[in-house]
Amino acid sequence: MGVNGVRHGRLCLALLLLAGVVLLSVLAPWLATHDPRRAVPADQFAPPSGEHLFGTDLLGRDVFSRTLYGGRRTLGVAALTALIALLPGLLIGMAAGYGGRWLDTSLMMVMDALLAFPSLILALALIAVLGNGVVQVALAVGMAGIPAYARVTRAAVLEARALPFVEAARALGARPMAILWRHIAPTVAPPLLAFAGVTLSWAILNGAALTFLGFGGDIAAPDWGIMLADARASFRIAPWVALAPGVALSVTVYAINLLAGVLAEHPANR
Amino acid sequence: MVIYALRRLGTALAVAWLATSAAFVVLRVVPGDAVDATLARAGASEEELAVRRAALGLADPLWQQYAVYVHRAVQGDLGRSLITGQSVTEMIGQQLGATVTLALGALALGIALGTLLGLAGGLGPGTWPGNLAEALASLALSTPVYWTATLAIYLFTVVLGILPGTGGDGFRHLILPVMVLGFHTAGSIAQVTARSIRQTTAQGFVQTARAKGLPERLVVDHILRVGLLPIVAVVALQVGFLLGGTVITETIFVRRGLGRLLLTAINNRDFPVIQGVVTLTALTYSLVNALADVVYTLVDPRVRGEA
Amino acid sequence: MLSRAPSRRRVPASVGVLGGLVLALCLVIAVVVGFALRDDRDSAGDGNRIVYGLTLNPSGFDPHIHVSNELGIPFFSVYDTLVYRHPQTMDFVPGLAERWEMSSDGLNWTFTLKRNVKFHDGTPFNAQAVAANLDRITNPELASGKARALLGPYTGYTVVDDYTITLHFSEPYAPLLDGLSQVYLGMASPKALQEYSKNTYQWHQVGTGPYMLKEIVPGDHIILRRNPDYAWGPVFYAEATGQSVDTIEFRFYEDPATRSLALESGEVQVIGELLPTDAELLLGNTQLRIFRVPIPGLPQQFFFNLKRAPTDDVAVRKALLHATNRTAIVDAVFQGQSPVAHGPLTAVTPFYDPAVETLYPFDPAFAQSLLQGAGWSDSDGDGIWDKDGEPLRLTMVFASWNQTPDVAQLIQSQWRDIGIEVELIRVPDFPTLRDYAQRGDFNLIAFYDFGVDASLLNRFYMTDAPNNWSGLSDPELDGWLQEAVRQVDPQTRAALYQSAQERIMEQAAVLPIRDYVNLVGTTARLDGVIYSAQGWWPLLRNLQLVR
Repeated sequence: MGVNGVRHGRLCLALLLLAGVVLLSVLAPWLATHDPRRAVPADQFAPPSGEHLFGTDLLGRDVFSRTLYGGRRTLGVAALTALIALLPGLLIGMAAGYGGRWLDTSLMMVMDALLAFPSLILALALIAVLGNGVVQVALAVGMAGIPAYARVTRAAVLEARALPFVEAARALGARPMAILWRHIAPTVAPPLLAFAGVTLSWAILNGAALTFLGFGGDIAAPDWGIMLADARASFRIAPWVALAPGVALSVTVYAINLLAGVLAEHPANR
Repeated sequence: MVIYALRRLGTALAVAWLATSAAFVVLRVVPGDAVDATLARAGASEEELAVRRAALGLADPLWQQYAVYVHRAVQGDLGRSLITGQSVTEMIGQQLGATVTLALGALALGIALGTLLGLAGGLGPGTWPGNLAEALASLALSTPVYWTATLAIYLFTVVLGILPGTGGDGFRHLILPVMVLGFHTAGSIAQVTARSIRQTTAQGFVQTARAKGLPERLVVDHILRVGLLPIVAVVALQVGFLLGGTVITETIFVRRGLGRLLLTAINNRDFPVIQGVVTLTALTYSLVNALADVVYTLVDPRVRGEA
Repeated sequence: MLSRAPSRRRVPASVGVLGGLVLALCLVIAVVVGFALRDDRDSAGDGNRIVYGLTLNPSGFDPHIHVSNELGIPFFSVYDTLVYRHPQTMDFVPGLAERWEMSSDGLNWTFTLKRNVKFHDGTPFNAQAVAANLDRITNPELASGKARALLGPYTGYTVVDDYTITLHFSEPYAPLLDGLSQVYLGMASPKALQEYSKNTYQWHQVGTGPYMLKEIVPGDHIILRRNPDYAWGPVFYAEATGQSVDTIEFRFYEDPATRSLALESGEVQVIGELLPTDAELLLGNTQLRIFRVPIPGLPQQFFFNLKRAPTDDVAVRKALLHATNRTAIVDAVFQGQSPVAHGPLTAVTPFYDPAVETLYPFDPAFAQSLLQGAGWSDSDGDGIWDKDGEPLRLTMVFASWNQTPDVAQLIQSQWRDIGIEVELIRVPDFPTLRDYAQRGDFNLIAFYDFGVDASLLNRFYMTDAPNNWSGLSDPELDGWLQEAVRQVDPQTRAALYQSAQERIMEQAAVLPIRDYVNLVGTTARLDGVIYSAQGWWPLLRNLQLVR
């Protein structure tokens, strides 16, 4: 199979999986067999059956319905978190990579300081100021991701900046903004897209990690990260509670990474 | 070179100061203090709480607390825990070794495994080893650490009984946590490596070089050099995450470490301890990134370093 | 042609890859060598050794200063107390004090001390030692948490002779003996107290107890060694035998899910606070034993906020109590391993009043009629009660401990079924919880504490008491609670507490859920597993490691 054939195959697989995940999430209200928040303690830890496709959890809630609804919330919050990390990180990374040494040094200093700042404290402070909510956790996790994006962007910009055609453009007197936009940005996009795949899964898992440690958010909400964390306590007597959200999460992350990879290597990106 | 090193050291110190100051201010925004965490629980009256706060210096104006802290810090005195009265330096010293050992072990495994998986995935897209490598890397990225940790303990300690799980400082106790953390570290590294190599391979001048008959060894050489560059950045980041983000692994494996120290200190609002840990992590991140920049410049001289 | 890179020799990339792998190998070697050079903990001479899993990292280790129940688990056996409570009968029995007497006005208690008792460092125990301890605890600079509070209206002491000491009080104080039986008032060696500062003493604690503190590394472990000279224990302490445990190592297992794994794999021989699902699972394991240790004190519960709508209306509170199916909660979340709680005290607490059990049966229909009577209706047909345009919406605040989030979610679901909406707010730690309480920003808040003496209620239910988060203010109740502390006669106290418990429930100040039960798992090789009257603290003296 030629390189293009392989890429084509991967693209199809990625799109198929993602479409499946998104479709199932969107159609959750129609596909779900039960109310995802309704607790029926008498049905606790029921194994998968005709009535409960993936069984029930500690409080007797239907795992199948919760996984369906969980997709919307998990993906939505993860996208928000990734965006909060990406946009500022991108801008800072570009400025640092292309700007003068002083700008680079000072920006990277701030980034290092932010990286060292425990996201736990950030989460606590945000919750204290803004109240308890899932957005606050997204902010805390997202902000913790800005330095990573900034660093990777900066590295790519430094690479691109040294390329012959960029040097040529500068020698010819082109304005910095034009160079950034027309020459550097397209070169920088591929490694960033590669990193984007990592970010989304990182966003989901770190959000769930904060929840695991006891921080904020609507704990009753169906959310893959929260479901996985809760399922730990009962995995020996009811392993199915973790199976559905775990598989959903893995498949989604795999598909996103696959897609990001294909996009990164697309010829038009060079 | 020496001047450069000194300059980077200066930057590292500035970063540490910046991060600690930020922590100082942000902590005061968070509700409650050490006195709330301890005395208030036992039912002390507001007057008693106020007396205790004054004794600990928590009632002083913020700028004064800050000035006192900085004044001591530059002399190497990071203060004392508001809860146990233990010296912060001593507390960090007790926990540091365990974290460093775990981080280094996980990093070693992560680099080795990650590079291997990444090379397989990057140089051989579409082949079954390549796809398998990609799938494994993806799995490492999509599973939460607390799950792999729990399953690893269950499998290796309870079911198979071949490795110790929780507790203990011995070398054997290090194996499982390193395996778990290393696996996850490898995921990030593998992913970025594979992408970068594939992208570099597909670049125009590679095909041109091949068409011109350049020896394959040199072509691969070039691919690897450029393709492996972003890994330096990712590895530097991973070091940061490993040193600061091991709290979950330490909690589950019942190990000493800075992560647990920090979490306990946050729950107790033990400001000096929190600030001490932040200072240390900021210094470390900064130095590690400086090292990464140096490596960058060495491997690809086209890149603007600071030399 | 643009200038090329500097004339430095470019590093071949294959070298780069190799270099990376070599680096990784070096790191591995470094780690291994680092371990080879470390001296392993000296386990020779340990004799019978067990590992005991603690569940919480206490913020401090000095019983005179710190407040956690957890620290009593090791230190209850490092110290002796003047008085002990018999774990089965709950009676007070001699400890370091052979006998005691209260003056007729209740203001003076005279203790006659045991002779031939020695601290671990050889210092003799006598009245001067007790005096030194009292001085320390009452010194405001020490900032004692529980110890000072347990002494109540204590004003001073008089050393009558080497083995007699009298304690003075400004008011009669019934809970004194109970306070004196707790680890927080354990007797420390005056020599050690003097040798170390108030902050460093906790690492070098010296008592008279059956175990000595050998080593303590905060956040990591505590090691105790058996005291071979111990011969003055209370009547329920067993004699030492060849199977007594010589060394006990305590480690901190803060993650509930790994506790059962540690027990099953043999890494710990005792561990508390197992998850109910794990305890159920382990019941079938013949190599292990599961104990259910009830804890006296307040049950796992939520305080209502009497100062905030809509829980400021007693009818609403009563409706909520009737709308909660506590049995379902205990069955689902706690696997039926705890009794349902009905009142402000758990059933094993002395002076518990069983009359509270019938006050609020689960009756959703009755709950709805109460709401209607209070002026609520579903005027907009959305399935939620409303009144004057405001929906019946509540905020419930809690931390992660003891599976309260699961309880809260179940309550949310139960109340939603009858048209009440609850917003769940989980906070990460105690200072944040306290902040919510102080701002009054809640309708229900989860908070409780443990203790044997019912005077515990004063801290939570008296007007203006420091931990009165509900805002209850009932002068008659205040009177009863205050009087119950001053009356020493148990009959009188029982009657007062009976009235108090019933009044608290009539006022519907609290939503009790379940009596706290500590699920302890041990290896079957361990005999003599008994817990003190306070519930949390094991009688390490009695442990026997067989086979």
